[in-house]
Amino acid sequence: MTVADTIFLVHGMGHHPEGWHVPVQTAIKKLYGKYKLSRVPFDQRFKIKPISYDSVFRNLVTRWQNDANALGAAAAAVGASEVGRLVGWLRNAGQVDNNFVWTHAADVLLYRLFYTVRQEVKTHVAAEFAREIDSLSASARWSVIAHSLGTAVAHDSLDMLMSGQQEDGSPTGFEARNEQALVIAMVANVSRVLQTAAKAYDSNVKPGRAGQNGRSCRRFLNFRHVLDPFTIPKMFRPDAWPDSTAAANGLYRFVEVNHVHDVNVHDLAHYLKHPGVHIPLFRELAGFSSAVTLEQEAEAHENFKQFGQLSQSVGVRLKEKLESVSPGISEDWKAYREIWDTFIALFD
Amino acid sequence: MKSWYTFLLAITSVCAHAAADCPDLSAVDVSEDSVMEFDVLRLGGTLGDTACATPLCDSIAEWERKAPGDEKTTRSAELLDAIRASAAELPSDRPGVSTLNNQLDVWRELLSEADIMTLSTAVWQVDPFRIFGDQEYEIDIQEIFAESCDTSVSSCNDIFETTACVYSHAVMQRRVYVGLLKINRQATIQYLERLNSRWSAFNSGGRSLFPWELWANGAIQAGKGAHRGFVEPPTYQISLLHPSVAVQGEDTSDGSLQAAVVLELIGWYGWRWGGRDGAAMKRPFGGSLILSWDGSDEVGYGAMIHLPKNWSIGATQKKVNGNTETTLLLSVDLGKFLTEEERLRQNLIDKIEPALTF
Repeated sequence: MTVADTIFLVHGMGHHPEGWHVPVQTAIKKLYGKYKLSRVPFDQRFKIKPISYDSVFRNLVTRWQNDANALGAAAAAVGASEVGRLVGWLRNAGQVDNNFVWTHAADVLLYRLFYTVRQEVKTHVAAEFAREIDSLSASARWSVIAHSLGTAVAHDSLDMLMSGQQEDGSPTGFEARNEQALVIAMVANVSRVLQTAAKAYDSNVKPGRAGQNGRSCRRFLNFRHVLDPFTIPKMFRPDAWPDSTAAANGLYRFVEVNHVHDVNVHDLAHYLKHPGVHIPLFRELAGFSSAVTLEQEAEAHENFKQFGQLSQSVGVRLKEKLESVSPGISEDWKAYREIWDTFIALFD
Repeated sequence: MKSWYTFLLAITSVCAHAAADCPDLSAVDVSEDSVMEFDVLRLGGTLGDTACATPLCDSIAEWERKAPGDEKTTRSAELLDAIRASAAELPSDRPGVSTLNNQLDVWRELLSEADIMTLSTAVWQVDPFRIFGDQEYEIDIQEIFAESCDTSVSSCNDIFETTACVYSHAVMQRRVYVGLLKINRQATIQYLERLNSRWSAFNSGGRSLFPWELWANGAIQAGKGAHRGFVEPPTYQISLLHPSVAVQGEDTSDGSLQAAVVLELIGWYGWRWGGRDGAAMKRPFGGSLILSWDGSDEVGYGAMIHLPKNWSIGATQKKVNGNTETTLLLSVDLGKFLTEEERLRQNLIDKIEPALTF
């Protein structure tokens, strides 16, 4: 009976059907195989547990689409043009192919603006966390790798789990003083721009000493791509956080990368490729620094190409394009409207 | 028959006079890489966890299988005493041993003074290579190995065995605490699952809420305060400009039925939570002020009441040739109806398809 550590993988915005995590898991395994920690096979060391909440959004928008189509036909038949106009914009809400507004933008809007949807997502994800944590043996640890919208969802759900009380007011046993993640890794962190009741800098989702109250993890890694426009508004970039001692002990780390292997620099797999991202991640997840030796680290950085398979000229052009669409530093999540318009145009 | 309790006392007694309860590591070769060897043992569950086969580990495993209750709580104290007695047998001049024993003493005192739920038991949640991580009294296993194993293989062997045993004791201590947290944790999981089902019912299980209605209902709830922790969903929904289709029968001589479109200007729909999982909408009831269109030039004005199973009945009036005409309406919540139809259709396909696959 092994005690593999659990890694919760929390997806970002967009359609994520069953099995969405397989390509990410494959990419992580491939990278894992390059380093010393792979002397223990991946599946003996880690168990990947995908956390999916996309179905909450998809159920809603599919229902809206069904309603709108049925109503549109009926409204036209009886001359109720006002009703037709009221629901007309929902007619393709449930389509998942080439429907970026409804598969990506709507996820963020539904999560940020719709209180009851946010509560459903949070309780769904918190229950997933709780069930898995409760099933772990005493020395097995759990960590979280969250991406994009998933950083906000993971943040809010963990804060909910660790600040909640049972119906009768008694403790849950999941408070940070009783249970801590080993690593929380936020990739393209938007938890601050989408924050509501639980504030990203002040919530329970902070690194701390073993058993420290209000500190839900031992290590917090924050990865940002300098050209990822989604991470710019109300950027998660605290100083001396969550306190000077924790910062001095390296419990929180901020890593910025700038490689361009593809136009979609927001993509999780694109982030993970960079040794500046996956090496600290592997070291903290394994819990020992020689999990990746200094020689392996130096070699990985030396062999890593800034533009990957792209030629130098294509890479430079793409980088310039991405730089041109980067929004100014904004404190408002509404800047996402401009970001979507410009970022998506790059894919055409 | 030897009960687990007498077995435990026997172990406690043995530990008090003999060697500590440590995993057998005689086959482990640390001459190459002590860190990797430790890593393999940890992941294998040998160090105080699921694959640990020492007498004390066996007692803990047996205790873990017991149903929660006063007896289990009482016996946990005996287990903690046994762990403490065992750790006292470790050579105190080896790294980490004094720290472990000091903390075991401190925690024995803490437990006698306070409820387990109020204590910071995650202090005992070991990191892969740290015990009491980042506390002033942290035991850093990599550091211990670096200091001992770079100089001499024999001292490395001794230090490795003791360190593994220190780690094993910390894990056993954590196992007892986790066992004590279990009752609250499982009750919390049930509560969370019920909450999730209720929120899902609120958003998708009741009457269809269009985006503007869902937003408005959320804004009302959000306006009640900043919510962290677990939040109960409301037991009512507000309808706002809610369209649906209906059939209507006019009070005419032929009594014919015709299609109509209804727009609920504003309405209310309430229920109680019930059912086996406490997340079913029971006794739903509500009403709305409505407009209706039936293809004629005039728009009808009236009211509608909402009944279980997403059915609604209503009546509207409109002026026709100077006379007031009353119309009865029957409506079913469209989205829900369509979703159910789709599910039934899909279920049928799922059942038929395998039979047609060769």
